[in-house]
Amino acid sequence: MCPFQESDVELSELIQKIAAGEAPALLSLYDASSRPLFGLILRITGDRFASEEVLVEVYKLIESRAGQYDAKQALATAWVLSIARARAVERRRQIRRESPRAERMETAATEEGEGDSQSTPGPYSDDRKRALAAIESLPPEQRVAVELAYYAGMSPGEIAAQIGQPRAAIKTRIRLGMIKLAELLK
Amino acid sequence: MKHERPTGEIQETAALYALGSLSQHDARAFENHLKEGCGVCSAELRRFEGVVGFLGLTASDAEPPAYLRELFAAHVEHCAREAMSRAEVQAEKKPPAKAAPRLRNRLSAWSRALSWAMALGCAVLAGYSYYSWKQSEQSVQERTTELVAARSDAEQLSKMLELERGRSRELEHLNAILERPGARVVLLTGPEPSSSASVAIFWDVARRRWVVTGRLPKAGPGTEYKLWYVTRTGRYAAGILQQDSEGHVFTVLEGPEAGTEISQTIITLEPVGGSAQPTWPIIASSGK
Repeated sequence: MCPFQESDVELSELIQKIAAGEAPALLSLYDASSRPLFGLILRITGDRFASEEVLVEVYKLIESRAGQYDAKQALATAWVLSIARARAVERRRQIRRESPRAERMETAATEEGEGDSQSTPGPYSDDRKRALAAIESLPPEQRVAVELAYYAGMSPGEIAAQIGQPRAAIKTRIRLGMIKLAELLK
Repeated sequence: MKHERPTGEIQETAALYALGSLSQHDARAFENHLKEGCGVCSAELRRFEGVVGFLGLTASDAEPPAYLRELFAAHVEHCAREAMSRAEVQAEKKPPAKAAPRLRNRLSAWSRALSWAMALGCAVLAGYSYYSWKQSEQSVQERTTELVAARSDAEQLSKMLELERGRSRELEHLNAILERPGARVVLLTGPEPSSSASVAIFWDVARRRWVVTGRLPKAGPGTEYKLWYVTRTGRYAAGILQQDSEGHVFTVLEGPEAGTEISQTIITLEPVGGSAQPTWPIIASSGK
């Protein structure tokens, strides 16, 4: 039984309504998901202004791709978070290319950014607790490797250069970390 | 080659692919392998994609600014209006009744035959006219062609001259602002790296004057670009941007009061006639 199904049904129905052309469902989806999505995007980009632009782009992508969403293949929460993460990582890379100062963000990516320090209880509060418990249960070296790959969109080679470890060791840490997370989030 | 059981290497590749951390070359190779129908690799990938999907929940919530929600609300309203007008147009196009299909078919056949006959008549007439004209006017045509070419050259030169004069006037405006104490320049760019939108606001703070210049994709028929600024208290319209046929933008607007803290400026494409609030899409935007 997936621990995330409770809050996922509503989101899945909204995506299906958007796919059917029910425009008001987009606003309901925004109300249900904008806080976690904006928090994620903000943590990845580290830039509030860029995050606002990315959030708009993400909902445009959700609107245009809603027809491709298959509830049998992926949970709705994971689907929207994946779209937001991919777009935010892309913007983070763009910021890095355009501003060398943004290099500093690589380490910041594994730390909490500007998000609300005390998240209010919401539709995802139980899911978040489970996800946090899972990532916190990882050995520190695996957690850092997974978080740099996820939040900074870094390759194993880039992570290896960042933390001064062999590339093969980073790949192993990511593999072991992801296997453990998959077991915990089953 | 299809795998029979998950190995460490398979898991590593699937995990890195799910995280988007594989090199392009390795990612393409893995995708090709998946296309071959390897069930073991597909299952591993699905498992890790689920993890990637939920890792995002480990970030804290953050409240997006209120203006973004209003932007979506306006977009939704706009879509609903469009859907309604589309439905009305379709309803008007519907044939009034199902009765007498044979009569309608017969009329339709007559109408088709008549239109073909008319087209044929026109073609014969046009052919005859062309032949006569060609015979009698050949020499006149050569002179006319030369005259048209000369006139076109003159018009083009005149346009270029006018364009240069316009650019020169614009530069005078910009230089005058840049020489003012406390002058500011705000840059706006398109949301995509490939966007051709690039606009600058030259801000004469003391005189409350904004000179907006740059380039935007050509606005379609019935639409125009509008500039907005966002403060803590709300979003305010700065004005409509004038665009020439080449996509160049140059407009002088009244700027906000001195001391106004602007968190963002945005340019949206709006229907001609104006919108009270920015709708969709954001063509270019900027921070402070």
